[in-house]
Amino acid sequence: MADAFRLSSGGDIDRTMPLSFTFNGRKYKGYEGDTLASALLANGIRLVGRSLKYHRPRGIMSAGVEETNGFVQLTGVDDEPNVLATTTGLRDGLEARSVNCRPSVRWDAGQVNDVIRGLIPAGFYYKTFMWPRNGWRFYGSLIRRAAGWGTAPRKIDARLKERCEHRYHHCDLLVVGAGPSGIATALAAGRAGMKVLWVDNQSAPGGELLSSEATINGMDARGWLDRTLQEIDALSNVTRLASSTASGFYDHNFLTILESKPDKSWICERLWKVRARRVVLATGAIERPLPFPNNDRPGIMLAGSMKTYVRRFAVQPGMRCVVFTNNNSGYESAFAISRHGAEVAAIVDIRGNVSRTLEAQAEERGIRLIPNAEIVDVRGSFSVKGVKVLGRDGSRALTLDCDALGVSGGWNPTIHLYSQSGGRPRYDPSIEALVPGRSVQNEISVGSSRGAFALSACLEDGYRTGSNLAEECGRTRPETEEFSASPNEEFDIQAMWKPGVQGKSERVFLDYQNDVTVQDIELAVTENFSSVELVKRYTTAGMGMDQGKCGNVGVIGLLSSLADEDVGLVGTTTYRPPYTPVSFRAMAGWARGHLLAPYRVTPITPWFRSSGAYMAESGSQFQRPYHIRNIGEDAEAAIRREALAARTRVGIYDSSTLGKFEAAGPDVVEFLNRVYTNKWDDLRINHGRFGFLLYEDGRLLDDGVVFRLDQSRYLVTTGTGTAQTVLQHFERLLSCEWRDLSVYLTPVTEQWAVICICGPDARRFLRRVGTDVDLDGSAFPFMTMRVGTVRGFPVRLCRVSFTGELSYEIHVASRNGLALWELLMEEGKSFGITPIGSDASGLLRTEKGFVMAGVEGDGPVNLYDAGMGWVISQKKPEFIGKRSLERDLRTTRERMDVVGLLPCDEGFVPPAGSPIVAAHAKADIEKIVGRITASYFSPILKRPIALALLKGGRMKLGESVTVSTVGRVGSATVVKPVFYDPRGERMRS
Amino acid sequence: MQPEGMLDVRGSDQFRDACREAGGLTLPVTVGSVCRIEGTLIYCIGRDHWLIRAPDGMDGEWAARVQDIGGETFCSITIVSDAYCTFRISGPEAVAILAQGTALDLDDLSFALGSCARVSFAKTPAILYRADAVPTFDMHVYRSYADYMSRWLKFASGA
Repeated sequence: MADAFRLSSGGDIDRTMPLSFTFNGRKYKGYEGDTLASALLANGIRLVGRSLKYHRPRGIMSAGVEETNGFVQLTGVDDEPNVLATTTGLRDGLEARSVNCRPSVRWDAGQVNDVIRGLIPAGFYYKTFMWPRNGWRFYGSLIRRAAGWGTAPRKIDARLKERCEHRYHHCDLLVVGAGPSGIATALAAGRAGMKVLWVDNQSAPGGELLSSEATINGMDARGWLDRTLQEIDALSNVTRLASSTASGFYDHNFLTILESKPDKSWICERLWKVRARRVVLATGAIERPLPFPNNDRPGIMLAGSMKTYVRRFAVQPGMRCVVFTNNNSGYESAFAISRHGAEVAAIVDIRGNVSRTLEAQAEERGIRLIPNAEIVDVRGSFSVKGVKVLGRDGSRALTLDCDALGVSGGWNPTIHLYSQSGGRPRYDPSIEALVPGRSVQNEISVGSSRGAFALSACLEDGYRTGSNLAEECGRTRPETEEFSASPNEEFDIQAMWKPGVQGKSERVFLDYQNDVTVQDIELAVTENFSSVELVKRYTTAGMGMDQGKCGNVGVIGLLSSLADEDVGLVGTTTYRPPYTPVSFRAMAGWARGHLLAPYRVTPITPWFRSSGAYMAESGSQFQRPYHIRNIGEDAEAAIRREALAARTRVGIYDSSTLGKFEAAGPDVVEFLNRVYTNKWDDLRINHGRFGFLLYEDGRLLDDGVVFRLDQSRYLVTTGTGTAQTVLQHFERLLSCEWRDLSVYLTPVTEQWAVICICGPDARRFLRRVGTDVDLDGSAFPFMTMRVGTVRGFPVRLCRVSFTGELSYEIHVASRNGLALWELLMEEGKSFGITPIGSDASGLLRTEKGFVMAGVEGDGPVNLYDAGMGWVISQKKPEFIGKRSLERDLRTTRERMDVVGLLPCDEGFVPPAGSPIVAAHAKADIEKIVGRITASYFSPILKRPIALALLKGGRMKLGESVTVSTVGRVGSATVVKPVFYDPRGERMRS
Repeated sequence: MQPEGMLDVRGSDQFRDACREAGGLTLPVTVGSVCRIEGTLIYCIGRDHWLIRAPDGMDGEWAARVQDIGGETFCSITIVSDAYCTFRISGPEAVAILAQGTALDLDDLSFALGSCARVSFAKTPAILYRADAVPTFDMHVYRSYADYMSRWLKFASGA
């Protein structure tokens, strides 16, 4: 049987390059140039897989992306599901297996579904899984196991090494398709000098011409194709991509194209993101099957695809074939098959009046013509063994033995991309198919994709369109070219939307991939789901990877037939992207692993990394150290050690990530007055002030310190994660709301590395290091800044404190940040200098009760709730959020106040987020009265402390509340939200 | 690339006029255009926004010069030499590498020699400058992204 169906000559395969591959564990032979499907057919493999729902035996049905049965799972090194055998190029060692079958494709336990099909008609899952109410968990797991077209890759390590690329591209013209009309378009536009991107999903350009026996301008089609390609490929303004599928058409002529064989060896797929000034869709047409009982048996194939296998792959679809058609293209396929050695037993045509020319040609080839008849049944389960034919008038019943059946139910223009672009297709009765309607974007369909099937029409249409578009772009129109092609047989179709004779038990399939039958559509209509959109949802026809390539028009035609109305009145569904499946790896592109997100670093980050600090994202995609463990120390111990060092000796931390920008201009003070809650008129040069920013609704946006640098220049600091938000907020106000204010904002976060020295020994330490700034408390008081040097490095020194300790922020040019840090670490050894991470910073600010806008200030909390009414100026007539704050003050309901909590048990450190419940109510979620926002064991106080939001909290000072955590309920006393140095004497010292 | 002197300059129409009339400094007015003065490049990156790219160590001198000629007009001159890192991408594959990271049309007809553009590049804010016909591009990114961008460029070039 090996290679029994391979013709001894012809085709585009390379017989000198034999390839070995495995299917379902057995070895087979193919050739370079084969697809997996052609190699399987050549080896006589008819049964390729099982269908999704009924587990019916299925075989290869087409030769391209329209394949609805031939999905396989690649195994071995490829390890990929959902692969179409018809578009997978054969390579040596390829391993594949059938899907939807267990234990084997021949003996599949799932075929019980076919036996009980009466119990599981279309929409059964909408009715069946409604009860019991919580049963979905069980049903879902069963259905999940039954669904799908294979299994996700298991060998993740190997897959992670595969590289996929994204590439943006702009062009004057994107031509999709390299069939006759696409070639002609690219030729004209290329000759005119347009910047053209020309893509085609086949490995070789030509489309229909590759399997055509026509002549063009007196040359055979292949000769004309080769000559034309040579000319186009020589044009530097035309970029041609083979094996590249335009998968999505989005707004403003933005398309995605998946290139499956890129030019770089280290890239396995490339996703092009193309912005095209104009798009020509030369996507051709897809042949559709005919509805008749058991029309899904392995061995039944689209007639045009049979021709493709014969001509391109030298594979005969069967030893004895029958062709069933309702149009003239079926004859061309039958004649091609016959000419290449396979016996065509008969052509069954539903039409009564067949062209005399075709009749004569059939007779000449010895093919029996059975007009005005249809196939009413197919014999054979795993492979076609014969067909039953019956005259449409009920007479002339006969049985024909055959092992392959070609069907041609007409051609559907491939309007998927047109539909994705937002266009609504219309029905063209002359070809009994949907064609593009009005263009919504700068796009035009040509050739077969708009219903012009004749070869000469395709060529002329494409060339004319390319010339017109070139002219529109201001280019010189290329010389006119005429195309004469023969044969030029008329299409002449007679629609067949439902079988004339149908047994009760035999199913007639319309959508093979989703196992949707004529009976399913009838059921949907009976149950009043008669709109085409409802039918789609009820039956799943046209969904999934296939997106109705073969079956959609058949469903619409049947609906028209059932409703006894014109097909054009039925309406259409929407074809959705992607046109063919796009892998997740291609979508992810380079954005994975260490390139998943642009993680930011400060000049000092390398020191933390080399010191073994635990690094994590902290905001604005900065990677920050959370704690730095000593040998033998756990994280909790490290955090306590770091915090204690800041309280008792000297700590050092990297504040570079905090947002900084300079505000300059004559109206800065007015601007600050409007955006901050407090007053700025009297801030002196080299002095700083803490301020709070609110949103318009009075909620907390951010806090920070603003320093006045000179007469009209201020340094504004923000939180790490809010830097961009605050800058955008300010820029929006200046650009849109307050155009009368003369203020410029310049981000300087990256210009300065900021190192903070904090702790009771900070002053002594900095003096030891060496600075020309007088550090004495009276000369350089709290909330002021000085410009000077530290050990020769030019710096700005700021006295601010986020820990409650005496602190100096050193702002140094970023290029000097690491050098200064290392110097300070070296000099600080004798002071026991300790680097502090974000965790210890959180502990220190909790001890001091410093409110964080994004933690305590989350959600509905206002400044009064946060206990920060002191930062609101009552003298200012207006500031952003003032009106909303006043509204809050006038409400009578209890608000959530920020309070401190002292857990009664010293071993009880409730985690942040723990609910505070009404006393003795335990875990009753109806009575949650607050939540913990920050909670630590304070090493300086030697007890647990917490900050919390508590309903009416300030009125409950001294009371006991109950905190519920996972596995434990404890009590805590409500106190003021400051645990250490409540007068702030240490930081002002 | 080695550090360079960079100045972020914002200024009103009066400032621009003052630069031209009092200081003989003609700032480019078309966004994306670049002019060269004494080995210094001036990018126009916004309607009233320029980035001056001077040799390393010249930032202070340029800041003083611009401040001086800007006089009392509404303007803001900020030294940002340490805020940026510059990557130079040069060679026949330069466009193919950059096209992986930005939606900007890099065709020399659209992004001509000697022009600049603010772009989103591989999820980061960047300024691109087309330096010569090789083609050579200079890409300025904020310093905090330099580590990421270095790895990204190596990956995109197949390293």
